[in-house]
Amino acid sequence: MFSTGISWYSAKKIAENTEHQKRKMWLILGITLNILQLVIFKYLNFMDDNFRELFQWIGFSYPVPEPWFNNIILPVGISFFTFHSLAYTIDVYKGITPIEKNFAFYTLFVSYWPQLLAGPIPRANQLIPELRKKASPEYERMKNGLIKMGLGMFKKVVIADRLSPYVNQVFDNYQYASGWTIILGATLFFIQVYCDFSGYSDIAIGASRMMGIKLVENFKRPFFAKNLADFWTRWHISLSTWLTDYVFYYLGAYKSTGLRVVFNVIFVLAICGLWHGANWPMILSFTLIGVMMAIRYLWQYNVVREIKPSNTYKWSEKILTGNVHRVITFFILMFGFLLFRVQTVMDHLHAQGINTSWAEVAGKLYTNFFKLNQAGFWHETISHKGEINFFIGIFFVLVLMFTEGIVGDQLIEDKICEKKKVVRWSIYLFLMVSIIWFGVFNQNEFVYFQF
Amino acid sequence: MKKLVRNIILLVVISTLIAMLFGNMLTTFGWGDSTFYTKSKYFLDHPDQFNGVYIGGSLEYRHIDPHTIDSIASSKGVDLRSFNLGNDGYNLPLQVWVTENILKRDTGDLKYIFLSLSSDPLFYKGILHTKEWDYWQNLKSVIFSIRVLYQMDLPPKIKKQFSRFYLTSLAENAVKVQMMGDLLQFRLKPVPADSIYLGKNKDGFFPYDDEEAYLSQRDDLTEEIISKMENNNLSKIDYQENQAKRDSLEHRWTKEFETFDPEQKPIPLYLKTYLDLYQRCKERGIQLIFVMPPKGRTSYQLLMAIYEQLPEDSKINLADPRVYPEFYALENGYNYHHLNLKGAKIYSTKMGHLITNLISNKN
Repeated sequence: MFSTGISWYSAKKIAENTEHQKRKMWLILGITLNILQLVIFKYLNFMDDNFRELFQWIGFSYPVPEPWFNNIILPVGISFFTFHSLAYTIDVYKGITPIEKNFAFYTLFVSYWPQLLAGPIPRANQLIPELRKKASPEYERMKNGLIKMGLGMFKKVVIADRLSPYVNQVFDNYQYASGWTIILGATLFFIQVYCDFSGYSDIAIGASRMMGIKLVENFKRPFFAKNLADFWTRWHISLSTWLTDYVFYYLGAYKSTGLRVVFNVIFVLAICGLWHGANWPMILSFTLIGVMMAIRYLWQYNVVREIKPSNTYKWSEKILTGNVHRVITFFILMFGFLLFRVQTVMDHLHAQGINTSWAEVAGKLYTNFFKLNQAGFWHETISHKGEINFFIGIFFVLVLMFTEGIVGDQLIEDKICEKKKVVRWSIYLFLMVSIIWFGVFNQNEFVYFQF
Repeated sequence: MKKLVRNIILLVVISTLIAMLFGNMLTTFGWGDSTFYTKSKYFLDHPDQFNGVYIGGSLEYRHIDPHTIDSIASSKGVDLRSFNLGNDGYNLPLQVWVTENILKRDTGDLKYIFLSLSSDPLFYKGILHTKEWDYWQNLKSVIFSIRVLYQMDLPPKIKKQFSRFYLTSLAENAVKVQMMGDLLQFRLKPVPADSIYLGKNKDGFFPYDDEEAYLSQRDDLTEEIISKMENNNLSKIDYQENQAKRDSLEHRWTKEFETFDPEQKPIPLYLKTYLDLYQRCKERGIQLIFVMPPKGRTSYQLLMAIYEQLPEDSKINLADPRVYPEFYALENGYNYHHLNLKGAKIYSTKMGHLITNLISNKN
């Protein structure tokens, strides 16, 4: 309520004032207070830990006593509703969004339940008109929304939660895992996060669609991305566009010099990592991907642009077809996202009373990653939990990838609605029976709820 | 809107029918619980090796040592070759279900069934929605459980809550909610429980001390194993350190026996089911012997009311703390409700003598 009240009031003051200085002051106040509450709830412990270690390292005594904020409970979805509020305040300042005079409606926009916990992150000028719109129950729209929800449920309980035990098996025993096992675990983890997160988004979008409210799509076949920049236009699109609009463009985007662009790209990805989690492995995970993107940018900017007309470039284009690009992109992301998992591994170790640093865990993971001469992944990962269950999970992953492949950029639910009745009903039954039989319902909550 | 609702209902009905039809084609006795499956398979695969079986929950699985009992019987000229089919968490409806399933099969030399008189249809809620709890549920068992619940002296809220649990579990088993992966795994490439759970003598007896020793030396400490070790350890430490709770429990048990009124009416359906089983066993030439074990969770007054009505020559009571104080002694206990290996040996010895006398007198 504090966050909502601050952003609504500061935006109101921005709209009321015509003086540039006053408008700017209210903007800064709104942004600062919103970021401050995010820092207090989410990042204070992280900052305290780091300062404590820094002081210890340089040999000074740390002046802050036992911190009072150690027992603060992180409000669910704080990263999401803070970003809603920030975007609204900035958009009102820029004149992109008109002021919402009704506080109740504004509160509904910030706390709109289907997307509050794990996105997508809508903009005020998209969502508020949708919330104000009167919608009557329409068969086609409700059917479409239901299919979307069914697909989301399928991704979450049939794929993500089914893969989860295998992923846990690898990362809980990361010290002994061979290279192939870690590659398998990291691949499955990447797919698990995608299905978990996009599954939630699909349910949120589908539920809203049923109520006549259109939310933005949050995923567009991310595993078909041909490069890292392309990936961010397909993965958690609402966050990527938010960061692009409010951070990347503010920094100058691609308009600056080469090195400045490199900094911009890496900085935005680091912010993205910080948003995902107040811990170094998460920040480094995204920063590493940012570095890869910067390298690609430099390659494109300095080399490809120069040799483009030459035969060399044509030759490489011929050899490196789209699918090879996709595999390479997937592999780079999978490699970077290994760090994404480190904090979970640490939590697991702490629960067992084992104290170790994230650097040790990450170091061991990446060292073992390259031990490709040891191929014990079958025994290490699969036979413990049952091969058939594993292949069922893989089967459903392939079904999803194949479907995304043939549907292309069209939405799967739209494609289903176009089909003949027999085909449509066969798909509905496949989804329903798969969810009943193969869904895992006593699994963990959604991965992205922690943000 | 009407069309949408109609189509949703149609979809749910067709999906349910498909799930029920194909799901139930694949099931077989004991498939959902790997420990029970390993034990029951071993027992049923060796029909000529055993002529007696103990059916019950952990109070049987962790306490009854068939080797000790068979030796005592043998020393008195009684041919008893028994197997412990007890399994953790197996309560009244499960025990009845297991007994009925044993009776449905060709049981070879089977002459004696020792059925536990120790529980009611209540259960630990943490096992809800697991295949181990859901896989055996059928309409008959659920109706039996709910009827017994409503005949028990329980708060209405508990009766309703557990009835709902049973109905939910029945529905989940009917359409095999989240079970098909495990069912296919079981049919195509089963991952049986470690044969260690059959016990050192392959007679189904596996006391907590043996399990503790076994788990502590395993290399692959999965989350399940760690959690099991922690639970066992915590319950053991709490039992050893919390004298007030130990005394309170022992006082409760003693008082239940002291104040038991022999005129107390038993739960009709509970008693009827046990008497029916007794009769069916008799018709098959099997002697059904009811055993009331110590340290039970269920009220002993409820159990005693049933015990009193059972045939005199087919029951043994080892629960009364006034008669058997050794089962309640700290040095013989593993946790509040279970004996350690030493206690289990003492228990099996006492039980062996009682059983042998009962069988000898009957013959």
